[in-house]
Amino acid sequence: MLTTRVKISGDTATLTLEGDLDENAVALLAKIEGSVSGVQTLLVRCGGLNHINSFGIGKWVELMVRLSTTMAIELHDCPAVMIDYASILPDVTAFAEVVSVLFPLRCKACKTSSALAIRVDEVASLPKALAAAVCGRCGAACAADVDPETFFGFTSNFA
Amino acid sequence: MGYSNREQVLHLDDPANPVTTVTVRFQGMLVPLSKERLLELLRREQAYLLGEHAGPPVAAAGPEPTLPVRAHPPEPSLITPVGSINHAGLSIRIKRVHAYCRSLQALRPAHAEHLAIILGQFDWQIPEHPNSQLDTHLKEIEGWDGVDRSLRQTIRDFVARYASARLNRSA
Repeated sequence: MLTTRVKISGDTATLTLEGDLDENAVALLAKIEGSVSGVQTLLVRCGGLNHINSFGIGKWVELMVRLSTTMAIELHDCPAVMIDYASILPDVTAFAEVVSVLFPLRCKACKTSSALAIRVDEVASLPKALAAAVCGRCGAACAADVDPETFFGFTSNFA
Repeated sequence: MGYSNREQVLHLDDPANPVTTVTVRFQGMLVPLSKERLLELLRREQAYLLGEHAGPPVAAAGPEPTLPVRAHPPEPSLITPVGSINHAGLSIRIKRVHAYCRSLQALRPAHAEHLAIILGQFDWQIPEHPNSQLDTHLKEIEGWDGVDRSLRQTIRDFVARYASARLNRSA
């Protein structure tokens, strides 16, 4: 189930998303549009999203298209699943600026999944961060769970 | 929207330099517009961008060109199209999934779900000379991590039917 929190400060709204973006999120997504109308900038914190299915991401893109006509949108802490969808459909990130992502990692020993928060404009530091990444569960080294070059392909919008 | 020369600042109401006609590029064509017509179109565009009702259509006056104005916001292209999916659409989607996951030979969960849906939506209209590696990509994907038994079987069935359909077509 999706939960949302909207905090408005001046002409900026911060929307925090947690849970699942799927068929059950449609009514909530419609409410967001009314909650943030009139602001200049919308900051979306997506790090709490767990599961996203193709229906949910389709509705999310529709919302982004509508909101982007009246406000600038920034996506913070985009989970890997959102970027995975962007690799199929550039519209997922085309109507907003992706500021930071949660780059997916996997422990080489116990195979536990984790994520590394990284700003898109600091992606050059990723190799160093990857080399230092260790598993929070067993302490072994972690490796990228997706190819960094293809993962950050959305920054060029499939050019 | 479609007026690509709006990077240039036009001072339409500058009394020292009165503008009566403006040429804009619309859908690749240069179209002359009167100042009033351009202002009306810009007003409509602004109403559309603000999500308001664009108002009743304005009749074209005399020989002035009539530009089609989009009545609805652009539809985002859907991740999974409603209804069937044609060969080109399927091919490009499989190609993107393949390119994204190829280096680690592991299918991402979002892509596994997507693949299962689009394979079931193919319209089975195969072009005579398909310029695609759709079946080759699928055979590679089938062996990757992240492909569960159900999806693996779906891919195998699809590839077998695809090969058969191509064979029948060329026979």
